[in-house]
Amino acid sequence: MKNSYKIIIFALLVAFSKLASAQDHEASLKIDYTTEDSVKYCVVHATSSDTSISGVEVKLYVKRLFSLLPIGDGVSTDEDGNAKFEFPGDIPADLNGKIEVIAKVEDDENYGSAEVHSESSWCVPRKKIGELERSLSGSRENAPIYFIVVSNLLLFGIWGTIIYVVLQLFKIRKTSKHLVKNK
Amino acid sequence: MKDTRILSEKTTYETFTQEEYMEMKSELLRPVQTIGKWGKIWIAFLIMVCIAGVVAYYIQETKSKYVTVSLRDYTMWGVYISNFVFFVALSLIGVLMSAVLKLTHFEWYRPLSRIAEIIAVSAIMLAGVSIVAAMGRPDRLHYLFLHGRIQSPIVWDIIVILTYITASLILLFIPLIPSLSTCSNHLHNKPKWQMRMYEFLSFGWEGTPEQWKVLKKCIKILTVLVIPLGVSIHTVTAWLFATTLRSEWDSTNFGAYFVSGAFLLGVAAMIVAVFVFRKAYKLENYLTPMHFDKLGQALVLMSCIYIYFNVNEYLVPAYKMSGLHANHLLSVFIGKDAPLYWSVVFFGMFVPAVLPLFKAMRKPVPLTVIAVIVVIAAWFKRYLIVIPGLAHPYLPIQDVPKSWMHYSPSLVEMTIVSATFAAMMLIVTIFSRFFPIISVWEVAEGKLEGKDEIINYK
Repeated sequence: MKNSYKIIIFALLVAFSKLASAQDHEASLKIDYTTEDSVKYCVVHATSSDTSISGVEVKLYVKRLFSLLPIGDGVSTDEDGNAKFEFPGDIPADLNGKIEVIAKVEDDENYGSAEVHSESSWCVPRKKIGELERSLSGSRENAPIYFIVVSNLLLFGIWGTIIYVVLQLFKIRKTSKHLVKNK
Repeated sequence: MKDTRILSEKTTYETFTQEEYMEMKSELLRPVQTIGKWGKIWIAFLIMVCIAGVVAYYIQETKSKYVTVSLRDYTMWGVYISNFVFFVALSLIGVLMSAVLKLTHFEWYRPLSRIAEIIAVSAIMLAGVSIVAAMGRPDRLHYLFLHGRIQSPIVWDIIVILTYITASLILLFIPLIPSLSTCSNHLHNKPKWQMRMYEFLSFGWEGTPEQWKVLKKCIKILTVLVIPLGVSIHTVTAWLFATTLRSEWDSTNFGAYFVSGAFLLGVAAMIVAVFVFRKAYKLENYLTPMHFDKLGQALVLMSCIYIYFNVNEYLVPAYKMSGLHANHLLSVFIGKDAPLYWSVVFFGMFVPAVLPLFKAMRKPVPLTVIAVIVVIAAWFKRYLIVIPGLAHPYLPIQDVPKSWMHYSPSLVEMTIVSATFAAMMLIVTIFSRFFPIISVWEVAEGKLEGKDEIINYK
């Protein structure tokens, strides 16, 4: 019984010390973008109290509409505190024509969690609606030309005939002697 | 040349004795002149059903739709859309019974054309109402016009429905002009507003050769126009299904299959309408056993065509029994929908294809009984196209609630559907109480030209 108390107190002390040590050493991250031999790299620099930290696993994401898109696997920081990711060049841009890059340290035993957000223009610009390909599955503005032409020809042909018939009807009224007399 | 034709028309009219014409006029105007007790009771009954439908719709729109209707993620269309398809099919009656017969010179069309046209107009109006009843957000109806894509079959449907309503209304109105003048001259003891309405709508009709010429030209143009329009409206309705992602509806046969079904329904509905008007308005001299004989023959022909398209629609895929389509086919052949499916095949196709082959079955009463059965079967046929089709989505979900997989219409839905039927019959009834349901001049014209076959075609 006494031993179990000791174990619980020991466990609490260890947990507290872990927590205390994590809170003592908060990591901060910074994202830099470099290009080497036309290959794009994203370098995440991890520091704690202005000192570069090594051996911390960093993960890189790009924010999408509903969730985060991981860019490769996690990379551990080197002795300079840098984690280097090769960055893809084909990520579609958001509504502002940019992408939001997020670097994260998740549940590190020494530094806990940290993240940094950065905006980048390393993305494929969104095409404006008018620039998209015309197709049957396209938007209202991107209906195929042949489709618009054929539909309008049919519509004008049919409604033109209906209007012609209605105008003809007024001829009946015009030829009425009875109505002319009343006027 | 033109003058000769005008003169000959005039001469023809002068050969018709005034006495004969007056007798015909008084007989055909009788339903407009007086409304009996039963007529009033019938109209009151229809109005009550319509009011019940309005109340049901109010409940549907103000309470939670999850409670008031049985529509769920799988069966998101349900009985409203099957009712819509039924009404669109019914609206083709105008195409077949008026336009096609007129253009192909089947002279017995004359007393039938106006009945067919008013049924067509009222049916297409109620088809539109059924669509609105089915909408989850009817307040966004105008979005179809503001944001609709021309590539979407829904937009084609809206366009073609509006065009068909307009063309059908004008085609109903134009041959009515001389009749309105007849009403204005021969009806008496009617309210002033009603007489003024006749005079206003008759466009100053005097029956001059020039006026006849314009009138007939307009009728001819619209009669030709309404045929492709009618076929388009039902074909587009079929494409609404065929372009929706359900394996059962992946069919290139759908347009023709729907149109042929609509023609069968049109003939059956015409038989019922002719029987009712004949009895209720005592029009036995104009709607004769000859008409039933001809309509019975048309019923056989249309049934055979419809059976042909059904064979293509069901038996060819059944030979392959591929993938998801097999679920649907097995469900209707031997599964839970089998009793309804085989009843529809028997009563809606086999009975009208075989029984009217016997002359005795083409008499008014037996043929009307057959036609009523066909109309009921035709409604359930649309139910079978819509509901079991929706029950088998491409991406089935595990552990879905039971209410998603089994659809049966709620009381609110059935009340609204009943009200649409009542509204359709109310429009036809009220029309026939204000305007002659048989075109006086068209029948007279047929008689004058020596075409006695209109009344005694033998």
